[in-house]
Formats: sequence, C-alpha cells, structure tokens
Amino acid sequence: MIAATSVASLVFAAISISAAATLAYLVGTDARRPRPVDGATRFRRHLDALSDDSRGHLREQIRIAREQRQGR
Amino acid sequence: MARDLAIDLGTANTLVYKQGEGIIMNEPTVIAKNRRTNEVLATGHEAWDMIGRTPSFIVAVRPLRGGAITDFETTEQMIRLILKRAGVSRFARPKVLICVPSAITEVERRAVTEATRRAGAADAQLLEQPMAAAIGADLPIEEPVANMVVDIGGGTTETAVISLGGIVTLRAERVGGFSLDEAIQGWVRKEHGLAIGERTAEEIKIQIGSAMASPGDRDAEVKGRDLVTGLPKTVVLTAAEIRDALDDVVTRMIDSVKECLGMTPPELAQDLLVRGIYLVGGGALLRGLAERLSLETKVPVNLSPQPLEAVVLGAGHCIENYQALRGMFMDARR
Repeated sequence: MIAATSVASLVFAAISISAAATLAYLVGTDARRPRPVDGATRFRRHLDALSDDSRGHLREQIRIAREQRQGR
Repeated sequence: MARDLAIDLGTANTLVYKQGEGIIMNEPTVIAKNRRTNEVLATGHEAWDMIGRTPSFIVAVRPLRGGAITDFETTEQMIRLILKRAGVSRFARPKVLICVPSAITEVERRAVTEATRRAGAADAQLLEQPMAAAIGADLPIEEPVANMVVDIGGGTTETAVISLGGIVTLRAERVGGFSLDEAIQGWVRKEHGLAIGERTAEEIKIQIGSAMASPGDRDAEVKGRDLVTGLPKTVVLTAAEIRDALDDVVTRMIDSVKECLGMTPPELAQDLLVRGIYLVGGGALLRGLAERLSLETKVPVNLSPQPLEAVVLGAGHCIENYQALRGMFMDARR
C-alpha cells in the first residue's frame, strides 16, 4: 500500500515538473517572438535611426576617413 | 558571432564596411583572371596595375560597366573573394548589405543577392547608392525638407531628392567618370592621332581635366602610340582642349540633375534654393564641376567632405541600425 502510494507520488511529481518546464518553455518562446509593430511605430523607429542623435558613430567614421585621406 | 558587412560595389572602386569597425577595404573593382583556366590571379590594386599590360593568357577586367553587371560569373567570383577577405566562413555568416546603382535590373538584382548568399552571407540585401550617399554625407534626411544628392560614380550619375527618410524623386543616367576617360581617349585619338590607354586617360583627367575654366589651368604631356607610324610619341595637351573633350559628358551629367530638379514637387524644390545640392562620388572631384552645376541650375552646390566614402559610410550606418532601417532596402519595398 505504502509502496503504491510512493510510486503514485513520484509519477505525480514527475508530471508536475514536466508541466512546469513546458509552461516555462512556452512563456520563454512567446517572450522572444517578435511582436508585430504597427506602421506608425515602425516609421518613427526608421526616422529615429536616421536622426542626428543616432549619427554619433557615423560622424566618428567620417572623421576617421577624413584623417586617412589627409594622411595619404 | 559574425559582424555584418556593407559593400559599395561600384563600377570603379569597391569599399567594405564592417559592423563596429568601419571601412576595412577600399580597392579598384578589377579582377585579373587566367583566360585558359578561368582562375582568379589578382583583384583590387594588384589587378588594376595589370590593366592594359597583360600577356595574352591573362585578362584584367572590370565586371561592372556603366553601373551594370556585364560579367555575372566574374562578379560572383569577386563577391566571394571580398567576403572571404572580410572573414566570412561557414561558421561566421554575416548579413550583407550591398549598395547598387538604382537603375539595376531585376536580373542583376537577383544575381547580386544570390551570389552574396552563395558566398556565405546569412542574408543579402540591396540599397540604392544615392540613399546610402545621402546618409554618408550626413544630410538630415529624416526631416521633412529636401535633400538633393548627386552621386557621380564611375559608370552612373544618380540624382535623388530625399525627404522623411525616403526617396522622393530619382534620376539615373549611365554616364560617369569612365565616360570622361573615354571622351579624353577619343579626343586624343581624333585630334592628335595618338592611341592612349584608359589609365593614361584617367591620369590626364585628374591632372588637367575640368568642367569650367579657372586661373590654375595648365598643360600636360602625354605619351602614347602614333596611329600612323605605330611608334611611341609624346604630345602636349592643354586644359582648354581637354575641357572641350569633356564638355558633352559633363553636359549630360548636368542635364540629368536638371531633369531630377524638374520632377521635384514644388514644396521641396524651394528648400533646395536654401539647402543646395550635395555632390558625392569620384566624378564630383572634377575641377569646376560644382561651380558649373551651380551656374546652370541656379542652386548652390556643396561638395561632400568624403565624396569617395560617402556611400559605404551610409550603408555602414544602415548595418549598425539594421532592424530599424530594413524598410529602406530594395527587397523590403517590393
């Protein structure tokens, strides 16, 4: 009787753990999936990526290219 | 993880930008091959030095002419070599953005993207050169004002008006720096009975070529082969006659810009009177071109501080902001 109960407990425990793991996996996958972005947001991001603030790296590269040209 | 790449696949020069690093390659778009085995012998500067000086079994060619791909197989070999030199391997597969002339055909477009994917890129996207040039020239293209950029490359002259992050009007003409070289070759042949190579013609263009008379005009000595006797000969060319030789080509370039101005909506056209036109590309370095363009269009003309690197730097910015700027790529708009 005791043995049967402990086996049943183990089975339930295994089922609970695998259910929890599956749920965690599904939640994780859903969080990683890219959300559809509406047109206005996408357009705003597009303009932001071209804005003055986002051009720091570009200006640094322009400066490097200018120095290389002057050094030649 | 592989770093993404931007490539300016120009008729004259190929430049490569690596994400997070900057420009890692700047070489002539030339490839030297063994005619018998089809093996690649040299690319870039090394192949450029071979032009017009090769034995019969070697051929040094430019796979792009007039902004069009004239030799698909060689272009594919070239892209493969560029990606290999940039560190692309089976285990490091970057996304690659290639800048191409806006007048590229559907077949050429597919050929370039397929060749890039076959060469190991995880993804291959195309971007029009004028758009990349405008970003690389640091123009405020995200604002609702007109930004006009004229990219005079080796094979094409492309003019675009850009506002709010997109192209409003675009005009491409298959005339560029190589057309100027050919005009000089033709003139020297016709007027002096002298055959000269394309490299010599380019040197003359750089030394004394101009679109407008200026106080610093000088003469240049040129050596070639006499068409009558077949013997080597030297002649002296003046800046004025070279200007005459270049006039037809320069006029075509300026007409192309005028046509684009004519297509620009009036609200944006008035901005250009204040903001001016920006010149980029190697052809923009022709002496007096900016002044003549300004004179003929009545619009101020500015030369970009980095005319040769503007396209690849602009494409590099797109690589650094890949997801946000995906909508600008040619495939995304179709």
